[in-house]
Order: sequence, then structure tokens, then C-alpha cells
Amino acid sequence: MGGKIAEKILRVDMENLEIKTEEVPKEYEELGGRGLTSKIVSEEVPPNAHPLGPNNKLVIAPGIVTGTGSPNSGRLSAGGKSPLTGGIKESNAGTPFARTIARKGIKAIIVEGKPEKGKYYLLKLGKGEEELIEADRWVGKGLYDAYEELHEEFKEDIEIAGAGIAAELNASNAGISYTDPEGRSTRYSGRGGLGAVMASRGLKFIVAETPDENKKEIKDKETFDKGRKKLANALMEHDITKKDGALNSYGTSVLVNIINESGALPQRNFSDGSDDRSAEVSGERKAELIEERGGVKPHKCSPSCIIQCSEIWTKEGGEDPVGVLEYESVWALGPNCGIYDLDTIGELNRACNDLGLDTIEAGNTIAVAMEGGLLDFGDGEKALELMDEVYEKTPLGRILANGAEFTGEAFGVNRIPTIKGQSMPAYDPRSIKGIGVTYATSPMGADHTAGYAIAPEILGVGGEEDPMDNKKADLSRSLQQATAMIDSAGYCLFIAFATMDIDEGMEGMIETVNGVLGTDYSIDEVMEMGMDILKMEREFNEKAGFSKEDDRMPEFMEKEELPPHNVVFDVSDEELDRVFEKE
Amino acid sequence: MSIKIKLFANLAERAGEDEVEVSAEDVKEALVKLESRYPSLEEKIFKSREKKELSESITVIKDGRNISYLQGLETQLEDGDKLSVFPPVGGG
Repeated sequence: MGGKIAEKILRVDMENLEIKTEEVPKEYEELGGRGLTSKIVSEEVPPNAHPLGPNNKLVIAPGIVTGTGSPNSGRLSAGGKSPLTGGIKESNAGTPFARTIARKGIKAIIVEGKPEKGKYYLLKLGKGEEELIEADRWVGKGLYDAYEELHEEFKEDIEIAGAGIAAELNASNAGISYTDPEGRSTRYSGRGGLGAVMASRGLKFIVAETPDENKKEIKDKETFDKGRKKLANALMEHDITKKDGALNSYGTSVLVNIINESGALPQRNFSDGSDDRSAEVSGERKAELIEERGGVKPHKCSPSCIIQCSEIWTKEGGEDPVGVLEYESVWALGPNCGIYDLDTIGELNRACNDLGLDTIEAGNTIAVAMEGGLLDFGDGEKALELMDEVYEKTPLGRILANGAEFTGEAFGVNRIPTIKGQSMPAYDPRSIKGIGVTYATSPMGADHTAGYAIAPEILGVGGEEDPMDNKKADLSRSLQQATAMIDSAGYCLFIAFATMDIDEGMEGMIETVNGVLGTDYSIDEVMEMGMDILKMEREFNEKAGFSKEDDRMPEFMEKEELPPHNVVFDVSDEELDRVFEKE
Repeated sequence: MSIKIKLFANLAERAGEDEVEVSAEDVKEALVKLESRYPSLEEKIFKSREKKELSESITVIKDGRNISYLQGLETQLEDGDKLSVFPPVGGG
């Protein structure tokens, strides 16, 4: 060791309102992002803890390479026991906040204990010192306004992590919001309700001032620089990630059309796999409208990004920016609710960003509420009124903020598209079996990023796999391992489009990780580490009461045929169990 | 057979069109006609001018199925069929 100042762990004791700085234990030195949050949660949170109770913890950790300036390295992980799934959760986000805490030399922030009931605090990570400041005056305030006020109050250059109104309700669908490069609340550790974990520890905001000195250590600069160049070249070469490629030109919503044409874009609470109107909310249509009305495209979520898949969507006339409308958000708040209008979707997304709700879960919640008769499919106006219920903290608002399963049960719905309590993303597993295997078996619940089988099954990246073939255990396993590592590295998952197809890109990625750590791991060793993370997460879940019966599809997906292919989810239980059986 | 070809993303931008009608018996013939009608798509659809093998960068979907899982370029067409042609796309 020696050279730069060593990293530290900040332990924030919300009961005694104390912040302690700890040395990084040796066994954590090579961990970062998901590998670190899942490790700390496994070691420090009793698996039977109540997610909102005193024994749960919130852990935030930047990735291994976050803060180095390597391309697309602006990510962090938030972890804890999830109020939504009841299992372990890692929720990944791309935000300048990640770089700021990494460059302050912060390896992880662990938030534990609970203050006096009803009190909220702001954790200030200043240039020199850290302190907890009372934050009651922001209770009940939307995050767009709150973040503006925080920027005015703290004159320094700051990045923010925040828990919104939904989190104040201790709602299971409360995410953790972070600043985007414009300082707005549009970046999220969305899935799994970690915002409620944050708020139930009495923490409303973390405000991090940009440090004067960059404390991010790179142990082997030569290897790191070699790797960084290879990775950058791969990203600039690959058709999906390059400048003027699909992501740069149309954003993630470019997927709407191909998934719709494949018969797998869930419509009206997973009752159909395609609809001609889906094209009205596609990436192509959105890019056209941004060109006409104003807004920004391309755009990046964090400083080191060279793909720039993001955008700033606005109202007509270029006014009232919302932020990015991701594919998942557009689908969940759009076609899955029978809504085919980007302006309505934009306002629903704005409400989610403002309240601190995960958009995938919120969209599924509205769709399930539609199925339950609370409002009609396609009624965007009423959907927006339902968001007001959350703002006003009414009993209905509390139901809705608790997610799709809770809402579905309240309204007597038996077609609830959740696994381990978390609702499905924008790909119907009946028409794309491999992503279904990931949904079923990931320790995270129904999660598409956990093992993105869509890449080979639909997009022709990393090989070609028939989406209708139901032997997908090996594919899902290998993708889940690789993803666990990327989530730990601090890289955006979209680098995988390039690294799966361009060997030098993969080599480069591993070299940057080895460069930061001063290690010499091979790709096989790195994949094994990915499996170790998954094993650790599954072990936590088992102790929390999960069994293989939780690695299953909801009944309706095994019975009800999905048009237009008229298929059910027919991957056998044996095949699902094969994903982790040998481990 | 009279069929529709839908173009998406950068392909639609290149061609200046997102829907085209052609007459063809199989997918290969349909794409050859597409390419000759829109020279800006040359060398985007097939691997080379001489070898009419589908470019690895192109995805063609018929009836919701990638033609790789049907009969590839030899997939037969009927009146009213629709082909959806995509350049490399990705997201999350």
C-alpha cells in the first residue's frame, strides 16, 4: 500500500446521530458496488430482520472503477433487505453522485439505527467533515423542488441522494433518487424499495460536496490505462454503443419496436404481446418529437459516459424538463397501461421522479389497478390523479405506493406479474423464455438487468439464441454471473453490448479492474467471483425464508397463452432449478 | 406476392422511409428489391454486393419470429406478409 490516502467506510449511526470513519477490512479491499453491498448486508443484516425495523441497514457503495474516469464507470450500488421482496436487494444507478463519493475516498456508506420517531436528517459529506443536519423542513416536498432548494442552500458544487414522499410513507416501491448532471432528481436506485429503508432510518438526503482532491486510488496505472483504451475503442466501434448508433440516436426506447414486433412487448397488464400503437411511443418517435419541440438528445447520466443513451424530455415548447424516458418507464407507464401517448407518459414519469417511485413498479401498479377496476386501461388522466393520492398520503396512495402485488391483492386481481414480490419489466417471458428464467431465478426478484438474456435472444449480441427455446438455464446463469461482476465494477451494463462481441473490449474491462485493485485476475476467475456474489445472495434469501418455490412464474403465465404467438411459459421446474443447482 | 417491409431506427433514417411495398416470393428477393430501390441501404442489408448473405448487423422479423428460426433468406412469403427490418439496436 502507501501512496494515496486509503479509502474509508462511513458508518452513520442514526440512533445516536454519530458518523464514524472505519478502515476498510482486508476482506473488503477488492470489493465494490454490488459485491460490497451484498457482502455487508450478508454480514450485518439478520436475514429475518424487518426491512423497516432497526436491524436492517442501507449500504451505498460506488463500483471498483467508479471515480477513475474509465468510460461508462459512473455507477454505484445501494443495498439492504428489500421491503418489496423480503430478500436481499442491490439496486444500481448511474449518477454523478457515484463519482463524487468515490473521489472522496468513500468505499461504502452504511446507514444503521433509527432516530426519534418522525425525525429526518440530511447527511452532509462536506469537503472537510461530515455531519447530520435536521431535514424536517423538506418532508412532504417533491424532489424536483427539494433538489433545487438544496442546490441554492449549499453554495458548493454538490450531488444528492434522496428519499422522497413515497419513502416517507415507508412504501415498498420507494426508490432512492440521485442527481443527474443537471442536478435534477432523475437517476434512481429504483427497484426494491430501498428508499423506504433510507427513510425508515430517518435519512432524507445525502449531500456530497465535490472534493478538491481526487482520492480514488489506481494501484497499477499502466494496466489500467491499457485496459481503458481497449474498452473505449470497443465502445466506439460497436454498432449499438458507438456515436450515432442506436442508443446514442434513439435512447433505450429504441427497443419498443423490436420487442413489439417480436410479440413480447406486454400490453395492458401482460394480456397481449404486441399492439400497433406501440410505435407511437417508440424511441424513433421520441427522437422526432425532441427534435421538433426541444429538449436534449443525446445526453449522459454521468460524467464518464461515452455512449450517451439518455435524453431530456420536456413538455411541448421545450418547457418543464422531466429527464430521460427510459424504455422500461415508457413501457410500464405506457403500453402496459394501454397508454400510447408520450406526453402522458412523460407526466407520469415526472410524478414518479418527484415522489421517489420506481417507474417499472409504478407502471405495473397502475396496470394491475386497471385490471382491478380502479380505472380503465388507457385512462392517462386518471392515472395522473392516482399519483396525487401518493402526494396527499391518502390510504389509497399508500396502497399504490406499496407496488403491484400489494395493490393487486387489495383489488382482488389474480393476474399479478410479480416474482418474489417484484413486478416484471418490459419483456413477456412467455415469448422470450431466457429472460423468464432470469426473472424467476435471480435473487433480486423479477429483474431484467440481472441476466439480460434479451441480448442473444432478440438483439443478436453475444450470440444468437431462439427466444422460444425453453432450455435456458445455462444462458441465464452465465449472464447472471457476468452481470454480478459488472454491477460490482461500477460499469454501466451497456458496456456488455460491446464486451460480449469484441474480445479486446472484455479484456480491457478486466484490465481496468485489475489496474485499480493491483491484481491479475483472469476472466474465468472474475466470472467465479460473480457466482460467489450470487451464492451469497441466495444464502441470505434462504435464511430469510425463500425456497425454490419462489423461483417460479406466476400461475397465469403458465396457463394463459400470450398473443400473438399464443404461447405459455413452459420452462420446467427442473430447468429453473438447474440454474443454481450445482453451486 | 405483394408484401410490406417496415424499416426502423437508422435504417428508416437512411432510406427516408419507414414502410415500403415490394413484390417478392421470398425474403431474399424482398431485401434485394429494397436495396435496389434505396441505394443508401447498399451494403447495410447484405454482407457484400456479390454475396447476398444477410449482414450480421441486420435482424429480419416475420410474423414475430426472427427469420434465423424460420428458413432464413429462403423463407417463403405470401400476399399481405410483413417483414420488419432492424439495424443493431439495444437497451435495457
